[in-house]
Amino acid sequence: MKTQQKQAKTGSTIICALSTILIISLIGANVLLNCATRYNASSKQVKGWKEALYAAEAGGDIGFNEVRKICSSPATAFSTSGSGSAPGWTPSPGFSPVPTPSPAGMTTTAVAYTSGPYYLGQSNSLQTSVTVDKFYTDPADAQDFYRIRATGTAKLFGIPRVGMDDRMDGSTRGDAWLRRIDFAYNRFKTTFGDGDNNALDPLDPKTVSAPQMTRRIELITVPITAFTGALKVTGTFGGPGSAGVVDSYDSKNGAYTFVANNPASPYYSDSRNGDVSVATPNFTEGGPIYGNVTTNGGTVSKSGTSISGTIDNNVPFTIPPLVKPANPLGYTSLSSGGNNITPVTPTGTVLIPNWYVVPGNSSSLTINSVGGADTYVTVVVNGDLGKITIANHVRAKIYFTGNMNVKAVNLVNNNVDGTSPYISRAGQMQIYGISPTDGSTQTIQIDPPGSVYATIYAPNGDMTLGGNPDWYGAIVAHNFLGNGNTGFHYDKQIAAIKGVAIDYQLASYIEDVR
Amino acid sequence: MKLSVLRNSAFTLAEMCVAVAIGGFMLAAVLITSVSLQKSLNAVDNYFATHMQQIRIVDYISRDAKRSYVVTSATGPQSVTCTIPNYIIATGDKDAGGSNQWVGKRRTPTVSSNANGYTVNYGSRTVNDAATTSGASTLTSVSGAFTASDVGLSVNGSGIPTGTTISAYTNATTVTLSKNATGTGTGATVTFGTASTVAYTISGQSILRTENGVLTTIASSTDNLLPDFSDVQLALANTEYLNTSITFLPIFATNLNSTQQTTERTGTTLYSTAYLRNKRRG
Repeated sequence: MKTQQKQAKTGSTIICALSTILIISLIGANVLLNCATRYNASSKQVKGWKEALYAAEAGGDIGFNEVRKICSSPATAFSTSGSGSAPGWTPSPGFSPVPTPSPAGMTTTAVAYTSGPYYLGQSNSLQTSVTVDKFYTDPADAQDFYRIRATGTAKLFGIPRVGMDDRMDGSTRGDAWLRRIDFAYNRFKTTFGDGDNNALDPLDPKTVSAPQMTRRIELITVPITAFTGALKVTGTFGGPGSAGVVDSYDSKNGAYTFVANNPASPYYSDSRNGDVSVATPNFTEGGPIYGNVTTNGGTVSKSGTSISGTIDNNVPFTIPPLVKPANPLGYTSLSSGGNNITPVTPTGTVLIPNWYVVPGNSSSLTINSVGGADTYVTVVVNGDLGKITIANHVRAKIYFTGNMNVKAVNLVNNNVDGTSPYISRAGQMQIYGISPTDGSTQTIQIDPPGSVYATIYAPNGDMTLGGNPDWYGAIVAHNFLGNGNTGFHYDKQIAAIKGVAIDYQLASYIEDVR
Repeated sequence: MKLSVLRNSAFTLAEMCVAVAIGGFMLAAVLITSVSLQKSLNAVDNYFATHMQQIRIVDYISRDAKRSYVVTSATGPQSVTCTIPNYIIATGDKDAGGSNQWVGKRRTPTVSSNANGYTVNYGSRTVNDAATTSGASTLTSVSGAFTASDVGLSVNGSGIPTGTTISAYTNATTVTLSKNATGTGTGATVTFGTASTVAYTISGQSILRTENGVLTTIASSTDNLLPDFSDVQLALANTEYLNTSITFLPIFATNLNSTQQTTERTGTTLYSTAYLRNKRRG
């Protein structure tokens, strides 16, 4: 058999075709590679970058929620046991959150609470940890301020590409700018330690198990205090009576005088801040109100009323309930009924007042100063509250859980308006109605004769001023009814006194962008 | 068995001409297609890259706006200016320590209160009620809440010479400046201490970001990116947000007239809204 090798004369055509396909494929592959990188960066990394902030802010919310418990549920705040899948809080006695010189007047704490990590997001790809510390207590009014530091970390899905270009010119796009990725090592820890250039625990790993992005935020919470307005109610407002008046004064100028209808008076402008805020549409008015009026859905107008200021019928608000404060160590138990208190030296301070507890109803409570010195007293009455007398220089906070039915003349505040540094007479007798846990209301009945110099915060209190008493100070209640010729006169100095913290709000947000 | 017959005859001239012509057309088609394909793919690559720049610019602006005390925007030319607290202690700061031992550490804020509530400041604070008299060194501010620890803080604002500091504390509303004021006025905005100023501006076809005058190039000048900022304040809620939209001109098509360019740009618009987390201060 004769065989003969074939000579392929048409092979060059195939080679040309393959070469063309190869070249085009290379071009396409290169473009696809670039596009994949861009896509990877613009989707996965952007996703991780944003979600890391979401995680950090979620941590901030966790911390903020815990801070709010200090007012709403102090017994459960910063619980070490946790709840469900959420970890508890770990106190860090050795924590030193304030490496910088403390600003003047500030006190710092050596205790911080840490919680986390919390896992969330797609396949638990996000985690957050949070630290809360009380970084400042105002020595003037004992208000506490809390700092929340939260770290949010997001796993980086997609291609863990390190080869993108940091340059920014005509052919490069600064791909890796802004969004910093931890591929193998935690860049922040290795560079900045704990954030203050302090070395970390050698056992704290500097490596990461998978590419990730981390963002850090710091929030500052400040207290919302009890007395942020003149007269605030969450239910129904009725008053003053046709012969009564709501107005204001500034006790730095001395005792109250009625000047709201006298523009020539130097105190005229101080007399027209008797603002009334109602969280419902339920507003009725008989006598003049020298101030602004707000309701939530009401139909109040200038027509048919005597309101000097602005009227806004679309202002919703809430007033937090008040929980009973925890008794501190070393408090003094009194008996039910009548009590006459003269604190034993020392006089107490704003931060650490003399603390007394009445186990049942208080029919009569008299608080004396220590030798005429400024004397700080807190009394918790586990029942109804009756007569109160406080001496000059007594700074009293009086809590009660029951009702209050007393004549105005039997609420005696012997402080004097305009006496520096405690200018407001009314501000020295602060009465707090503790909200019943079942949500019911308290009855607060103030009968004639007499006048009252006090501030009252009773978010569940149905308050009635009957007859002709005048109330000087500030009122926060559920319902308010002032009939007859009762008067209410807001002392503008109460704004500086503030009262106890009833809630917290965020006042500062900053991101550590290092 | 006969498998094949070997033929050694060549093409005729006519056949060669036809073959060369066909081959030439095929080669030209391949070349044109390749070039077009490369342009198209390059445009796709450019689109992705520029879109990524859009996102990065938005992220920069969003990050800066969220942590700002004050954000202002302007038109013609478009710009955004953010006043950002200095979180980290830097060399030269009043609280850096004598040997700069606190440099690089996180700053502890101060808290002040007035009738409007509490204000938290990181090393600086801004007032809007400063009063000065030209040639005098006294500065008063009802909301200043000055303390003795303010001595040494830098002072910046209208009518205040460069390099001025607080030299003495008088009371909560009055301090003495190290240099006499050069202007007389009330209600001036003055910043005590240092805060960072981040500005977004347009230079030619490029968006620039400067922080305290130091340039951060955040976008390539070749992509013809154009922003559109609007700064919105919601007075009732006492909050503020910054609307931003950024467009770019894709390169899928060339030789477009202005109308066509506008249409092309519109399709690339990226919108963003960033809410200030801090209470507005100016």
